[in-house]
Amino acid sequence: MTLAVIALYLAVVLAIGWVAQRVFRGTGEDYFVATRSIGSFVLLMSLFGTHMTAFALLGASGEAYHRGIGVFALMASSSAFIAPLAFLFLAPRIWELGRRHGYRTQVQLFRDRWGSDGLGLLLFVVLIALLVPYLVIGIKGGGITLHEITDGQVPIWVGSLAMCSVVLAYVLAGGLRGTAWANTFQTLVFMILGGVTFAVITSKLGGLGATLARVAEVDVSLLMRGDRIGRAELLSYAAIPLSVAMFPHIFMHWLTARSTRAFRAPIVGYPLCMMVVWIPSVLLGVIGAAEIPGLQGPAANSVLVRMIAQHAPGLLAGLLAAGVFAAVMSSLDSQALAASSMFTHDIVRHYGFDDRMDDRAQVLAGRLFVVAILAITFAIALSTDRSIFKMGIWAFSGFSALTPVVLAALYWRRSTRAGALASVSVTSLLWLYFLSRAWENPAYTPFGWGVQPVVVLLAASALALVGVSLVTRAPQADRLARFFDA
Amino acid sequence: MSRRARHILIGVVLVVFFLLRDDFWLADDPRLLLGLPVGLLYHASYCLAASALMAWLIAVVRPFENGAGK
Repeated sequence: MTLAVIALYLAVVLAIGWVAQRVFRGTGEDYFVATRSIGSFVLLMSLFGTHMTAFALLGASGEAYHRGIGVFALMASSSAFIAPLAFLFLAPRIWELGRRHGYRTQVQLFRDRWGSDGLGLLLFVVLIALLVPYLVIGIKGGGITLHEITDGQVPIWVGSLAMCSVVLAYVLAGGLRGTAWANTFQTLVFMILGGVTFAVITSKLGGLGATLARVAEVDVSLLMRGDRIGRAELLSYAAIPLSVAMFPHIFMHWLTARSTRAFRAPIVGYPLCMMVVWIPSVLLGVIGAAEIPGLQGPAANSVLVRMIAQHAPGLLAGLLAAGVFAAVMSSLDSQALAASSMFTHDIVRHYGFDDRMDDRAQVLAGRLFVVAILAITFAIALSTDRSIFKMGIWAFSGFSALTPVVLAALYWRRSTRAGALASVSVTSLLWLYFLSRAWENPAYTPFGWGVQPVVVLLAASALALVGVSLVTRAPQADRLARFFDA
Repeated sequence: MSRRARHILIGVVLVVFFLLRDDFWLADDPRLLLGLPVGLLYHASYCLAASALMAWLIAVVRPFENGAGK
């Protein structure tokens, strides 16, 4: 029954992709940016669905299992504040520049802003490298979900493969329009089913009050932030949601807006969506710590799905697992499409094939890269056993540290090509160094201060950008005129 | 209100809101309030307040007024 419900859900998502294909206009503009036609509500749903992945459901509940309710303060509150701020100050400007100059990727904007091919190439490599762990989170999450919900009958790799195949089918068919529609449907599904999951499980356990009272008996510290999350960690985690400013898939969705006014709903609605999704996730993680004790390290990623399997078997389990699938697939699709858009525009078209690539060839190149990137990340997902939360944090930290680059591009006329290059280079090298240290010692923090690496990365990135820009020649007026009003 | 005063007001509001995320006075309080752990209830309220803050910022910053919003 459970598998039949999941199969039915996947069929519905495929049908949405099929419908999107029927209205697909066959142009690169339609495939990669949906002809900039997406309205307010679909934009909110597709942005939120794209941002929330296995990290928000499986990762958050897994982390709350170990660290209690403070996980909400750590990630959800900071995202509820920082992410809409990034939308407010960046998205309308980027949308306007995208419309004026025909940009479809971040690399096109930055390359044009500072007139540097080298910067474009470096950013392409760095952004794709950071995107891979983010994709891996989703693919792993899908596999874990199906494995746990079927009590181990379906191997993890089969679940991951099934999810990749469905995403592949509707992304190839409908491009970004199909992705936005599928994301809207899937975001509604995981928001509603997240609430249903929470209500069903707590009801089976005797109600929320009785369940939390049992948690308090087992370990009262799970119901407060306490010493599990220190102030330095809490404050420094606020830098992590800055990553939305540099996510290629978020950038791509910004460009699809019908007008800048379409950003109103995402800016105001984002904090509310965060609350709706994260409260059940965190509470179910905490409740899971009392109900299913003994999960060590990354094994806690599966606590949410285990609780679904235990307390909501049959039809409901299938529906609830579909909700987890929805969260995962609504990110995976946009990330894969963003990577393919970058490959098509920033590499294939930019380096010599622009004149010879008609719309059909652009779409074909994009589709081939979607297949390639999903195949590569699928292989990586099978060979890693790291915590979903930790992998997510590392990917987000790298993107966050590049925020000074986009801020300078849009707001600082005096910033230079050398400054931007220095910022991206310093960020990449430091990120690799911190990652290597954390690989040896998962509790590693720079200088042993408890401050997250993202803070040091962000400071180094900003310093490099400002310092090098000020000692190099200012950009020419004609280039600035393309980006700033007189 | 002058442009400069408006910028200062926005800056102050954003810094205060950022600092309010650290609910240190509730950090060691496991009580339940309205059925939720009080620390979690505080942060749920923080999200509601963030939404209201964004609506206010849109009104003050007016980010859609460059011709593209039409």
